[in-house]
Order: sequence, then structure tokens, then C-alpha cells
Amino acid sequence: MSFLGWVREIVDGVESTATGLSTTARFLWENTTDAEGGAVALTVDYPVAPARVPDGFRGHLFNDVDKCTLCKQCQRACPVDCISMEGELNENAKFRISRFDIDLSKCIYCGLCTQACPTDCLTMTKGYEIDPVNGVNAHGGRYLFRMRPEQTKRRMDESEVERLNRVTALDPRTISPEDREFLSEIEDRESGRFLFGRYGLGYYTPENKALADAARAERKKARELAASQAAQAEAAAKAAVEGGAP
Amino acid sequence: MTISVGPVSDSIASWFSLRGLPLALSEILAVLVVCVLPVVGIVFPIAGVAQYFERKIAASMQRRKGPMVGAVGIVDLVADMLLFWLPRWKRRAAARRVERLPVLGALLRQVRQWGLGSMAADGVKMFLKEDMVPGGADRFLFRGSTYLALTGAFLAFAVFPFSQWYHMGDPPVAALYLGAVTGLVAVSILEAGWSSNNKWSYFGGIRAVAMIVSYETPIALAIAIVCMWSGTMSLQGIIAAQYHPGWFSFAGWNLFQSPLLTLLAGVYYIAALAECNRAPFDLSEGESELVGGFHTEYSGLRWGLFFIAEYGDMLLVGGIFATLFLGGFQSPIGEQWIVSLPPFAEAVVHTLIAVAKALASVGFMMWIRWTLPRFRIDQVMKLAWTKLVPLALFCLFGLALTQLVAAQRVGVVQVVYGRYLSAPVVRLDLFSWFSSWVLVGGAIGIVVWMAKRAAPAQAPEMRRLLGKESA
Amino acid sequence: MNVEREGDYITLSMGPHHPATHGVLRLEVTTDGEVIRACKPDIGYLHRSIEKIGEFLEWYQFVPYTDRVDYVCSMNSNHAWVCAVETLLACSEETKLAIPERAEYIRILFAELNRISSHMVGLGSMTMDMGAFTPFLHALSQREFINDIFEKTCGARLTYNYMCVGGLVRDLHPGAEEEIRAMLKGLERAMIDFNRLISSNNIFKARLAGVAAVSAEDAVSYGLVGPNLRGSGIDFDLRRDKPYGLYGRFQFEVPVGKAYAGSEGRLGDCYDRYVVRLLEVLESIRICRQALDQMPPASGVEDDPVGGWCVAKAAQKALRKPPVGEVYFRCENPRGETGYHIVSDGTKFPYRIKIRTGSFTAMSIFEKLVPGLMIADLVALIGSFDIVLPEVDR
Repeated sequence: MSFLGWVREIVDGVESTATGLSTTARFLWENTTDAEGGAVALTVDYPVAPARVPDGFRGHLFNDVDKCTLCKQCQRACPVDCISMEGELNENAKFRISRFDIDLSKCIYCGLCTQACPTDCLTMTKGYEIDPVNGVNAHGGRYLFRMRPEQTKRRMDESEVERLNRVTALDPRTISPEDREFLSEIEDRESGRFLFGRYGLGYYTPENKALADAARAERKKARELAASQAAQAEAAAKAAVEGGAP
Repeated sequence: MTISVGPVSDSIASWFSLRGLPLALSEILAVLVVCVLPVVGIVFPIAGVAQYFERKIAASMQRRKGPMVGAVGIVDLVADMLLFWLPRWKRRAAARRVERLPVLGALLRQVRQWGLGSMAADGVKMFLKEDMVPGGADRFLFRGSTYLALTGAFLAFAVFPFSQWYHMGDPPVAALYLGAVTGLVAVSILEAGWSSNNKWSYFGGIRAVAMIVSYETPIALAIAIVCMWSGTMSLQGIIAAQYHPGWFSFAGWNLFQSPLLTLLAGVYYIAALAECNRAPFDLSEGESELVGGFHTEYSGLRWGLFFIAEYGDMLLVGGIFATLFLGGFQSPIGEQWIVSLPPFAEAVVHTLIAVAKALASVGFMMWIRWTLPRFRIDQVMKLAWTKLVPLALFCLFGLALTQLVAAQRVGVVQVVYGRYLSAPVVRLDLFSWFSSWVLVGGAIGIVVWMAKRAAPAQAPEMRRLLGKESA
Repeated sequence: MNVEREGDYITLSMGPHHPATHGVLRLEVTTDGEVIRACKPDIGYLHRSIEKIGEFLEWYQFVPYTDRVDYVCSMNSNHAWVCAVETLLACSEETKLAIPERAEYIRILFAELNRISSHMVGLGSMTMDMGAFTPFLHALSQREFINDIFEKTCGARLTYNYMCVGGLVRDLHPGAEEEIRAMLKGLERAMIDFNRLISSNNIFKARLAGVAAVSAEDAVSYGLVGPNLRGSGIDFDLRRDKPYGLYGRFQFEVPVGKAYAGSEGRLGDCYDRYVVRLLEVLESIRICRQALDQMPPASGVEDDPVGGWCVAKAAQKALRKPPVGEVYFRCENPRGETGYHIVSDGTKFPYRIKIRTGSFTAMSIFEKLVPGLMIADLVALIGSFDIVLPEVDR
């Protein structure tokens, strides 16, 4: 290689190193001084700070069992077969869902079940934290939706109902061992009469209910719009046919 | 026979013997204090703190935050440990109460946000990890390599000039000794790679030996050239030769004496990066290729010792770089007045300055690490033999010529630094200094300009990628 | 495989767990010091029988699985599958679907955005394999912005399940257009920074220039596709030469390798493939902007599968009794041509699905290309082919 080529290699090396160093120095400066519009840090201090989750996030599923008709469309639509459900007649001789189970360790959060649900009772919440060992229930990773006590077949007495309501509204990490035992005593998987939702997120909380209601209203509006568009299209086609062939 | 490593150890020995200890014992204790103190007191904590800064600097360059949360104070640490025995809510209540304390609480909150707990966490993690020796490994060599790595790093610290009054020894051939001792790290890496009974580690070891041995030459040449320029091989002498009275004492630094010395400083720095196995020369640990290279099979404190040896090496070569080119422990302004302080104060100030310069150089190494990609082994050796060595030789001839033609001999420094200079120092007078910069710098500039002019044009797609023209 | 057994060769297993193999790929490498004498890829560690599972799922249920065929570019895989099924349905008049134009534009917009984010991963991990850790994170931070847009629209960040047979699951979220435009502007600036930092770096170029040059004949005969093929100088891109969807309406150039590394480089070396991917990012930005400009406006109803529920119902009805036949549909994924060969026997379950991916065929050239390289070059080669193991193993 020529002498000038040798010099050029050295000079190119120095130049490209200097360019690289200046770029990283600029990133360092902008990140450290939190410069507006600059290269600020993008990471979030989870779990000290909450993770940013937008609306429409496909998180854990929430089934508003008041509306669920046990049509099994979601079970059929699920690509990994993680949904199972059972129903029975309650004391008003109404066929009600008594157990709705999504195995969260199998669920891939694709949302096909929510697309399939005709009553829009199945929606996806913004929850993503799950603690199968400690929090959910003793069965690890299963995710049951519960009925309110008056919808189940056996009656619980007042104190049990009160305790149930109190415990199931707690953060799952804070449930004491006695309460956990109480829950596993009452729950009876064989008969499926009592179902215990995921205590806390995904459960029958007012927020999730409100989200689900809002989503259902939007879908209803969309369906009506689509139905009216389809009706208009049909009418136009019929008019064209009639107009074209009198 | 007295055991002494200088006036500091003498004074400490006399302090001990005045308290009633026998003389030999007090001398030994004094030597231990003087030798162990810088090693343990400076290198080990700096290794821990440097780890934290490395992570924070890396994170800042990468749009992340780096370590953020960690157990900081004793309260947090104890509280977390009690987690096993106390119910959770009790521990959180205790922690909350501490956080609400006015001053301590605010401090804890701030410090917790900086993530300083990661330093403690790293240290504890290193101690608590399982000490595994892989089956089939050569147990003696496996253990010995870590000790050898540390030895290599700290042997060189024995001649590190912290101050003219505080040092562990000033042999008249310290520069030669340095060149010899820094080669031990190659043996230790080879030992580690071979004894791990792991083909990937073996590769790391082989690469390291090839690289470190190749880069011994530019380092030795650089040191030798600076010794030639300063007229002495003793490190204290080299520093003394850079003494310049007055406000702007950095004018005496070797870096500014001649453009060839600046070039030589660059050569030395690159070679020093290679000696430390630091990016862009970290191919012996090659994280993307060899997972851990020679230290793959090391865990816990054994890996920690390699790590401390690496950071110790970085401090060391940074310090030697400062010694050779940046005036060592001398302050950039007003050295004349620091020298006139009483010896103890002067020693403290000088030590701080020396360590600060070494830390600055370590910081620059971190900056380079997170910017540049890694070389391949043949490119590494090509760089050493075809670029660094010829550059160093060119500097050698150029500086020898400069000394022959233009230098005067001055002896001013002898008076100020007392016994530390046996040979008079070579200096350029103002005219020679100026004309050397103009002539030599100009010549180099013209050559660079001619080389760049002859370069082929960049492809338009590359220009578009670099934003120099729009599509 | 013929290996001379003279001398002391080391057999390394660049085993399934390795930072540089971009997944669970095993390469049996026989080296003579640093220089490799033989290389035999061993794949199958990520085989999940996706194709077989598809035979037990209905046509619309298979879309989440196509996400996972190549999870770095899910949108493109979705696109290929739904286009294939729609082509199948178009074979008979009763099952033919009318896909809304806006849905087609959004499909292409998102496919190109996903091409950009896939290239961020590919380019970034290549720089990381070369030892520069910072540009990887810079590229990934740009990918995060794209993922944020995807998350707001379809709810997921990696496996989107966004396209369905007949249209899309949801329309773009409100404010999507401005967000995408702003993101593209930031991306252009970030790419310039990225290139200044690493692409023009001497050390990086020296690592990649002249390494593993694939000649044009070899590229064609070993079945390389996508940027690997174009890096060897062959000007072929399915989007331009065999356009599907609405690709015929966009103006874009197809970057081709030209020995960009200068005097040390050769045509078809790793640096060429790298630069081709960089240029493809710029071209994808162009296509995205054109798609945003040309897109018809939204129907105004939130949460409306684009085209209204009537489209989705028609698709559901058609998929219960699709026509009998076979379709092979090819799409230009970031990793090259992805083909879905589907065989239908008239029922609601596919009879056979075969997925042809670019990374799988790229494995075939390893045995020829690798001997003579050094281990460090092998890492560069794997990175430059942008091999992802889910595509190789399915």
C-alpha cells in the first residue's frame, strides 16, 4: 500500500473515531440534562413507576358475566384452546354461567375471543401483572370469573358474603393466609358452584365494568352504522335493478 | 538493614517505634501501610465506583437510565434482610417511617434515585455467588490465574508516582520495570483460558496473548522515547522534567512540547487500551462472540478479582499516561506554589491530582468503549505492527533530531526537586518550540492533506445515509 | 461434508446458547486456530410445528400463529397469510371478498413500519455483534416508537394479530397519522446519527468489508432472497416486480449492493447487505409517507373493523366454505420472500400450510460460504444475513 494510503487509513480512523465520540457525547449530554427534544431516556422505572399502557391495550381478559350467554363462541375462536366454561340452572330456573375459566398460562392475548363474542361481554383490560404463585388463587395461573353470590346455587350467609366481598377486592399480594384458606375452602372446583375471580385486576371492579360498558356501546354504534350502510347498499342495488329492468 | 520505601514509610516507622514497637516490626508495618494503602484504599473502591459510573455512562449514551434503585442505607439493607422473618406490611411500614424523617429521608430518596445501591449490590453479589471450578479444569492454574492477574496489576503500582514524597519506591529504571511487569497480565489470561477446560475460553486466552504481546512493542517504544526526551528512566525524574514554574505549569507537560510527542501520546493511549483488554480491543473477552472469553467459567469473587485487575490496569495505564505526557502528579496551574507547601500537604494534593488524572483517563476509556466496535484479531495485530510501531519509530527519529538540533540543556529543576534528578533536563527554548510546532506540525498537516485529496469520492448512497445530501 | 483430518482441528459447537446466533441456532464449526475449515448448521431448536397446528385451526384462527413465524416482522407475516387466504377466496365468485381500500393502505403502511422496526433489530444486533453496544440501543429506541404506535392501534407490541381475512381488526387510533409523521421525521434524524456513529466507522467497515462475499450466481442458486439477494447485486424486489396489494401505486427505489465498502470491499459482502438494509429503511419511510398521503379517510366510527362489520361477516361466512384449491402467495418480508402455500379441501380447516421463509434457505449457503472465514467473521456473516430462528424452524 502506498505511503499516502497508509496515512489515509490512519487519518480515516482518527476521524471516524472522533465522529463517533462526538455523537455519543451528545447523547450523554442530552440524556443527562434531559434536553427537550433530545435523546432523553426512554426507559421507565418499573415497578417503582407504573408502566405506560395505552387504551386499547390487549391485557388480561374481563368477562362481564351478567351479559354472558354461554354461547361458547370465544371457546371456539381461541387458537390455543384456553377457555372453558360451564353453566347450570340456578334457582330461578335460568341457565346461567357458573364457571368461566381462561388459563392465563396458555392465553396468547390475541383478542380473537373478544372479536367473536356476540354480546361484547368479553373485553381486554389494561392489566398485565399476574402472580400465579402468590396472588391469584391456589391453582396457579388460572383465571376464573365469578358470579355474584345471589346468582349462585347455594346461599352463603351474610358474614361469608361480606368476607368474600372484602377479600376479593384486595390487592392479591396482601391477602393473609387465613383469608386464602377461606377462599379455597369455599371454592369447590368439582361442583363449580363458586367461582373466584382474580382478586383485584380483571375482577368485577367498577373500572373494568365501566370500560366494558363503554366498549360495548361503541361496538353497538359501529354495528348499527354498518347495518344501516348495508341496508342502504341493498336498497340502492334493488333500486338499480328495478330501475334497470322495468 | 532498614526496610524503607521512602520518607513516608520512614516517618510512619518512626511513629510506630516511638509508640514502643521494635524497630524491625515498625518498619515492616510502615511498609505494609504505605504499600497496602494505595492498593486497597484507591484501587478497590475505585473499581467498585467505576463499575457504577460505567453503567451510568453507558446508560446515558444509550437513552436508558442505568441502575436506579438499590438498598442504600443500613435501614434499607436490614429491612430487606428481615423480609424473610417479618410479615410484609410491617417492613413496609418501617421503611415508610424512615423515609419520612426530614433530612435523612430526603437524602435516602435522592440517593435511591441515583441507584447508588447498585455498588453495594454488585459487591455483595460477587461475594455470595457460588465459587465453581469446572470439572476437568486444572484447579491450580484456574485459581492461580486470578491471583497472577492481580499481581501483575499491583506490581506496577509499586512504582506509581503519587507524589514526590509519597511513593512506594523510585528505582532509577522504573520505566523498564513497568514495561516488564505489565506483561504478566498476558500470562494470567492465557492461564485462565487454558485451565477452564472450555474451548471458547481457550480462544479468548490465545487471542489475548497475541494481542498483548504485540502491543508491548508500541508501549515500550513510547516509554523509551519519553525517557529519551526526559533524559532519565525514573518516573519521578520524568515528572520532574515536566516541571514549569509560573501560573501555567501545563506548558511544561510533554504533551505540548512537540507535535511528535502528541502523536506519541495517541500511540501510547491506543496501545494501553489494548493492554487493558478494553474496547475496541476486548476481543479476548469478546462478549458477542465468546460470551466471556477467558473469564467465562469464573464466577463470584474470582471473576471479581479479574474485574478489579482490569480496572486496576486501567487506572495504572491512565496514571502512567499522565506521568509520561500530562505531567504526572503536577497541577496544571500553579505547581510552583503547591511545591512550596509543607511535604504532607503537598503529598496529599499531589496524590489527589495524580488519581484525578488517572480517573479522567479511565473515563475516556469508558467513553471509547461505548462508542467503538471491536477489532478482529488480525486487524488488531496489523494495527500494532503496521501503524503504531512505525509511528512510534517515526516519533523516535523526529524527537532525536529535534533534540540534536534545537535543544538547550537546563538544570533549573534540580534545585526545586532536590534529590530526584541526577541528569539535567533537556528543554526547548521558545523559538525552537515554536518552530518545531510549525515545521513538524506543518509537515504532518501537508501529508494529511495530500492523503485526503487522493481519496476516492464517497458513494452517493453513503452520502445520503450520512445526511450530507437528501434523496 | 468433507473435512480433511490432517493436523489438529478444534470442533466447536457454536451452540444453541450463544449471543451471536440470534436465536437457538447451532453451528458445528471445525476450526484451525481462528480460521474455520468447516461449518455445519444444526437447526430445529425452535421448531413448534406451526404448519401442522394450522391444520387443526380455522382459517381466521391461524393469524396469531403467523405472528410467531417471524415475530420481528409480525405485520408482514400477517399480511402474507391474509393475502393468501383472500386470493384463495377470490377463486370463486361466492366467496370473493371486497377489501376496503383504506384497509389495504393501512396494511401496507404497517407492513412498511414493521419493515423499519425489523431492520432496526437486524442492523442493531449486527452492530452489537461487532462489539458496539450503543448503536443497538439507539436503533431499538426508534423501534420503541414504532411499537408505541402499534400498541395504540392494535394493543400489542410484538405479535400484533392485527390483520384479518377481509380487512383489519380495528382502524387506526385517533391521532395516528400525526404520530406516524412525527415519528418518521425523528427516525430520519436518528438514522443519520446512527450512520455517523457506526456505519461510517473505520473499524466497523474493516470488520465487514470483503467478508463472505456472495456472488450473484451463488445467491440465486442457493435461493437467497430479500436484502441478501439484493446485496449481491441482483435487482429484484417483489414489491416492485410482482406487486401485491396496492404496492403498484407507490414510488420507491430498490437498493442494490455495489461494493459500498470501497477498495477493501467486494460486491455481495457483509457491508453491502448492511447498507442495503439501511437504504431500505429510507425507502420504507418514503412509502409510509406516500401511504399516509394517499389513504382514504376513516369512516368516523371508533373500534370499527375497517370496512364495517359487514366485511367481517362476509369473511366469516366465506371461510366456512372456501373453494377447493391451492394458492402460493409471495410477500416481500424484511427477510426476503415469504411464501404461504395453502391447500384447501373446501372445509373450514386448511388441508396443508407450507411456509417458505428466507432465513431457512439462507442456512443452505453456510456450508459453502463459511470455510476460510475467521470466527469473528462468522459472527458478522450471521448478523448480515439477518437470520431469525423462528423463521428457520417455524
